[in-house]
Amino acid sequence: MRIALCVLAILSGCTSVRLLEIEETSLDSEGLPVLAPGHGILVVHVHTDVPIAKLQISRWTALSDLQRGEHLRLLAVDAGRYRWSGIVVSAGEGDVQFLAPYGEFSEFRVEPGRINYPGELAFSGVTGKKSVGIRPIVFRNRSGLMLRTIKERFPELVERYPPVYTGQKSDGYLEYYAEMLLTPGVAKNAGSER
Amino acid sequence: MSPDRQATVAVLIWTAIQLLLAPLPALGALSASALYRTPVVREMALSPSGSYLASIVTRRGRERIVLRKRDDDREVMVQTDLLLIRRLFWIDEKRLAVLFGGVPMYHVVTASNAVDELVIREDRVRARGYLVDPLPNMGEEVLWAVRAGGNTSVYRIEISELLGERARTFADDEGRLVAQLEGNVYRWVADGSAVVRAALKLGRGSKKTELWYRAAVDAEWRLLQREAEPEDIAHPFAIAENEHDLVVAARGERDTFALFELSTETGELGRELFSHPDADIIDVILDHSARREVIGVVYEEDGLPQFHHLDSFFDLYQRSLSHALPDMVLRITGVSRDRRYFLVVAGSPRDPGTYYLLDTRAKTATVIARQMPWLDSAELASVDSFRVKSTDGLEIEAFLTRPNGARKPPLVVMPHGGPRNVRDSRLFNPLAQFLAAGGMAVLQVNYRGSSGRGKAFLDAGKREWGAGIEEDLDAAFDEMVRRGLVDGDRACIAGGSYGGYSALMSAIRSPERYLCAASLNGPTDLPFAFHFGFDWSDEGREYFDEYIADPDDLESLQTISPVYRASEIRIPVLLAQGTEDRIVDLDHYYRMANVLDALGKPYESYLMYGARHSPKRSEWVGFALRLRKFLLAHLQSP
Repeated sequence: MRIALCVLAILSGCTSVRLLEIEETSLDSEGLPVLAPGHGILVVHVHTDVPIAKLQISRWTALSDLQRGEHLRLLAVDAGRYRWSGIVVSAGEGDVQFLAPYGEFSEFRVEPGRINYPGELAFSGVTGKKSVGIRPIVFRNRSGLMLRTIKERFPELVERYPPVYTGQKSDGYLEYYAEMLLTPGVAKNAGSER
Repeated sequence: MSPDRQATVAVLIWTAIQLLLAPLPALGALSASALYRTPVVREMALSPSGSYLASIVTRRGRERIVLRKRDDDREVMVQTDLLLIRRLFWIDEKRLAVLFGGVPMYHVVTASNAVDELVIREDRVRARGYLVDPLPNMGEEVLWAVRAGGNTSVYRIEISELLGERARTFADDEGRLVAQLEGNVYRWVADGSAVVRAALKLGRGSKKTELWYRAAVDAEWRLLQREAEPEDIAHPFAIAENEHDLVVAARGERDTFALFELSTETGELGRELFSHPDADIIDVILDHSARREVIGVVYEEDGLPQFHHLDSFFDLYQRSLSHALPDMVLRITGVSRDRRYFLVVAGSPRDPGTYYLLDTRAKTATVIARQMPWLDSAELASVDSFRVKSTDGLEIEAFLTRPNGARKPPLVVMPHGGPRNVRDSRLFNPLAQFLAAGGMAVLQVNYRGSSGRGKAFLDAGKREWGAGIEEDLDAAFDEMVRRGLVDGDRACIAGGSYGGYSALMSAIRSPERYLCAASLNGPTDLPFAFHFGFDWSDEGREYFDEYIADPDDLESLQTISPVYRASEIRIPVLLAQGTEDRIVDLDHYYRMANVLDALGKPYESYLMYGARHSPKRSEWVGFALRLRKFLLAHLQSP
């Protein structure tokens, strides 16, 4: 099994598998998450205007109960290849399951020791009492927003685990940013926004 | 011209001059909110007899339609719930068409002129489609087009059929079908007998525009032209005097858009009706009553619209007015059928617009309305026009707004957006005026790729992002310094959209010139811009490749992207961004901010929550205040 298991879940005999929220990993003296060997950080970035009951990655439930809006979660997962495999949308009188589209856009990889960003999944549609309509899922590379959000939550995380775009059609930004952080003289976290 | 007519014109012009030159009362300070406040009147229209005036006005924060009699100040406001009123025009003496919203829907206001008070009946057109021709003087009939079943069809129907509670379609109404073409027709041209004879449409299965023609109502439609390259199609406006050719705006073999007759036999351009050596026609003026005859053209010279009339009557008035008031733009927007009354809107860099009603018989010119009556033109700055040679010899236009009384003010270079097919003018610009009121000169440049100067100039802007365009800005900057008009040691650069990008790239390319740079909604990362906005279709990819850069050449794209060259920025930067911008995504802002943070570069940020790519007036106020504060902080005397 490629998805990391929650230690507590194992100890309690829980049979359901869930992805590990980054806050649940062990923290070092600086309050930064410490990844287990072979693990990478997967950024799940969702923008939705319909409530989502479940978002599945390679058959496992990555996130659940997402209300309308922007969501960005960090999960510690085994390195490897994954794909978005299903979405369950909350309708008025029950949930409706959609399969994510197959093909290259639904696939991404996770590299060990890095922040892996496969892009933002944008859902839009209309939910009624007994029906729900979803427009085609859009994949967008919002690396800038993702980095900003992570730096607000864990200011030092991107230095420890350099970010990389692992979805389709990289535009080179995260790779440039990671390389820039390695450049001598670049002030880390020297934000001077006024 | 007869002596009597000369006298009439002279008196009229003199009267107009007195009114135009009279000092305007100051009703408020020159604040950002005053400059960006919504004009009280946006558009006016004169009824065919000249008896009525209709206006789009702003009352209590909402746009409304107001009707009044010519000689009576009492107004009747149409209690409409319509939003986004676009424009209005009189169909006949009793009916006013109101175009609203993002789709070509019409609203008809009926005004009874039989009594002293106007009686308004408002009927909304609920039928799908758009108005082709109001058929003035033809009773209740109009030409109405409907798109359905892959065709666009024109019906000759009574206007009452368009009104009422229930929407209806005319798809099966063969009896009154007067024209039909396959595909999406977006312009129809009818002759003097209301026979639809020409059409401009998108070709089936392609995005290429086609020009179609037929000789008579019972003749077959023929394809006259198909667009080979963007913008090379002739745009038809009327049937020519000889009753079988078309009057079109086209380039033909010329570099600039001109007015021609187009032979419907050969599809070739014929007699040239008007051309300008280095200015495009940007609009045509149609006959004010029937709207089926081209009576003039509009082009822009030295940053101001110029009106050339083919009709000697209008030419006389236009020339006389323009000669007497060379700094005013005088647009004749309406003429009564008997040509006694003229509705004229006058504008200038220091006047957003004033409406005059000219009575050619009584020889009077009366101010009907001012768009922004709270502004005092004496407080507003003048704007001068310059021709400048760029580094490669290309001639470009530049406009300098200079604060009143300042000898060598600090300079703000303000490149426009686009960059392609957009231009700046010398007409009233609230941001330039606001900065000038703060003691700064503002330089606007119609750099290569700007519109209005012909195809060669337009194409000169291809693949010149972060290169030739910015060299044009530098050349204009140098020329202002050489002329001693500004203090070249105290300069900043600020712009929106492409202008924001250009400000950031200029900070990188010419750090010695500027003390600060400000970007509003400027793209900062071109590889991202390509994947986000262009990589969805072959046309998008081709456009990006032709006008910006090779989308597959990541290194070149990064070379002309501020994000990837941020380490070269050595001056303070203001990054402003609308959070709901659908054209330049918010991520451009975040990407730049992240990199500047990491590099420890000083910058200020101004996020405009809820703002789109084109900010609303209230959003402009906030941005203008923040921008001026930022600029002044860095433009203090060294």
